[in-house]
Amino acid sequence: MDNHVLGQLSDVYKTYRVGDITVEALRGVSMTLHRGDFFAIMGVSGSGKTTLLNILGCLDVPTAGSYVINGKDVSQMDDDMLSGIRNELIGFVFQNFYLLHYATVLENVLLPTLYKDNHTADNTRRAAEVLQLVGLQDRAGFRPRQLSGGQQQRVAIARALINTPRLLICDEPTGQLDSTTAAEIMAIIKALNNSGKTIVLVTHDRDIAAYANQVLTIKDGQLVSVT
Amino acid sequence: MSVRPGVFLGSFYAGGGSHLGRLAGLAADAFKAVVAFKLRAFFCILSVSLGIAAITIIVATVEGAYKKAYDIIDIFGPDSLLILGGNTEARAVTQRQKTITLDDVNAIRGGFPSAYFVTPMATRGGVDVSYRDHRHQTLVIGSTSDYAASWSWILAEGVDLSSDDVTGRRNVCLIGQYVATQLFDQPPPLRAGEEPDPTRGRTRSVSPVGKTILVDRLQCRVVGVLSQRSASQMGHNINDRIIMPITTVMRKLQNESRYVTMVKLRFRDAQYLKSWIEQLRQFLRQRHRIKFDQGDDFTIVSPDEIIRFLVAFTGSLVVFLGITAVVSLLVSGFVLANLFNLSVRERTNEIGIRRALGARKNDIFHQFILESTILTTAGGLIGFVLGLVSSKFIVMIAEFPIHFSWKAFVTGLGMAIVVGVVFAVAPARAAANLNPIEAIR
Repeated sequence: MDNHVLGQLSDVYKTYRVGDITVEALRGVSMTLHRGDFFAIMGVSGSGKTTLLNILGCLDVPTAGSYVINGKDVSQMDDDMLSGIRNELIGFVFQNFYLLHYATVLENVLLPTLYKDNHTADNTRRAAEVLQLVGLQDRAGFRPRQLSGGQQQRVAIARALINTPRLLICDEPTGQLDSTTAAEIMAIIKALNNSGKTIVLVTHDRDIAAYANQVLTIKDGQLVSVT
Repeated sequence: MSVRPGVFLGSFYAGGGSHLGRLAGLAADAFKAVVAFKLRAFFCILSVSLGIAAITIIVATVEGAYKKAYDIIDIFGPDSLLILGGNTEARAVTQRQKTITLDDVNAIRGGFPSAYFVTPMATRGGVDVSYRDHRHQTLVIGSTSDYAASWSWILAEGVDLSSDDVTGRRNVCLIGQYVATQLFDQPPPLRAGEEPDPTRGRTRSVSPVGKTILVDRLQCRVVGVLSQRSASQMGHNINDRIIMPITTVMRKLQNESRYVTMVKLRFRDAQYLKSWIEQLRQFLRQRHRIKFDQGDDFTIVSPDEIIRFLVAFTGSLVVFLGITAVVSLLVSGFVLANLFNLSVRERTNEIGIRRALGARKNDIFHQFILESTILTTAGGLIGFVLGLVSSKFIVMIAEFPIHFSWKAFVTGLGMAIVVGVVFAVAPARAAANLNPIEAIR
């Protein structure tokens, strides 16, 4: 396998059963994630883009077809192994930030280290590093509620980076932010991509999608255009 | 795949340092959540602490009963037996027949060389005693010369009865501390116009030893004073007694030549006490020519029997308290389970985030079990303090032996932890099995 390939989706199908109705969320999606790729996925709601993101992020597995990440097929992994992949290989940034309100900024950033198998790394030093990276080194002791939306999203990015993942999954990361703040957040994400991180980003906004190197459009569970 | 409680325990044993490190991290994290959700913490701790307070009191009460029993055994002597005339099952204590003779006592002495004390006693209650203008009614016990030794009762002053006192039927006596107080102590001097106050401390200006007191109609010289014994046996004041030579009591106070009231025995080999009891029983049945289908005409009291009696005495209260405690623990368990179900529902989003960030099902399961255990442990500690405080009130209302030790503490804490683990299993499992995709939606 190509050394530069991080993930490979091959003819992936995903079907859900909702009561008696079977919903085909993905119908034969194939794509390759290389190291340093920056994909933007666009599509209307119900098009299957969230399902695609879930599968790329190892939160869900395909019904048919295969997803190979870091050389391993997810269909061969149990729940614990998928958790391990999410913990070490993937970072998540959500639209609603999803920080723990009762924990400090530093504790939020350190959260993924709690679920890491080896504790040899100096987590506190690493937390200081990633907070520096997002420009929040002097907010470590704050609670999320004391921060602005843009600052909260930067904490979430720092949290996503703490275990040095290869792939960053961003689900409408600027959906809750004004355009100035959105531009700041996208600048951070773009800089991360420039330093070698693979990014997959879902958005409605063409201006946001413009930060990506490749833009995919998904419709009715199929990729319809690749630009 | 779903999480089972076995996995929880398994991870403690299966894993090495990294598992423990992970668990320590989870515990620190769980502690933050415990502090963050204050209302939940308050109600969990409240309900658990009430249950644990009840448990603590139960354990302390049981311990108190046993401690009291062993205090009494200590006085009675763990290597001791007491033979009483008549059968306690057949007759009330006050109407006890006299069936043990001096010949029996001598035969026991000959037949049981391992008994280092065989002390016959003849008793008479309600005897008038007086010294000058001080009067009192007390229990007179006739004994051989080893009374103090056979009851391990140290003399405060003077000497024990001698064997010459017994053979010579001398009018001498040992008096208990209460008798000494009644006969020899002076009430504090009255000031002009003051009424006598029996509660004010008496003072003793003379030593009773060497003084002559009147017992019934006998002039009797006090040769010794027994030391104060604290344990009151079932309401009796054991310091209220006079000991005289058994020969004097039988001849001069009872007009009795054969029968004694009871015999105290102490054995060298206390571990064989059970077999001594049986041998003694057969020995006496044979001497008294009792047919095999008839009951004993005597009663042998052993330390075991005293414990059984005392424990049965407190048993009903312990059962009542025990049921209360179990019910209150169950209630607090269900309160806990419900609060945690609510908490899991409220924190669905948090669980989803944790799962997305790499938490395994087991990590989520452990997190909630740890949160619950931290809360119930706090509840257990508070409950122990509550138990300590409320037992003070119980002791004030009812004279009841309560004894606190590490056992009550450990039992209460152990129960609290068990409740924390057991009743959090269902909510924790529900949390662990949440679908992360739906949880973060």
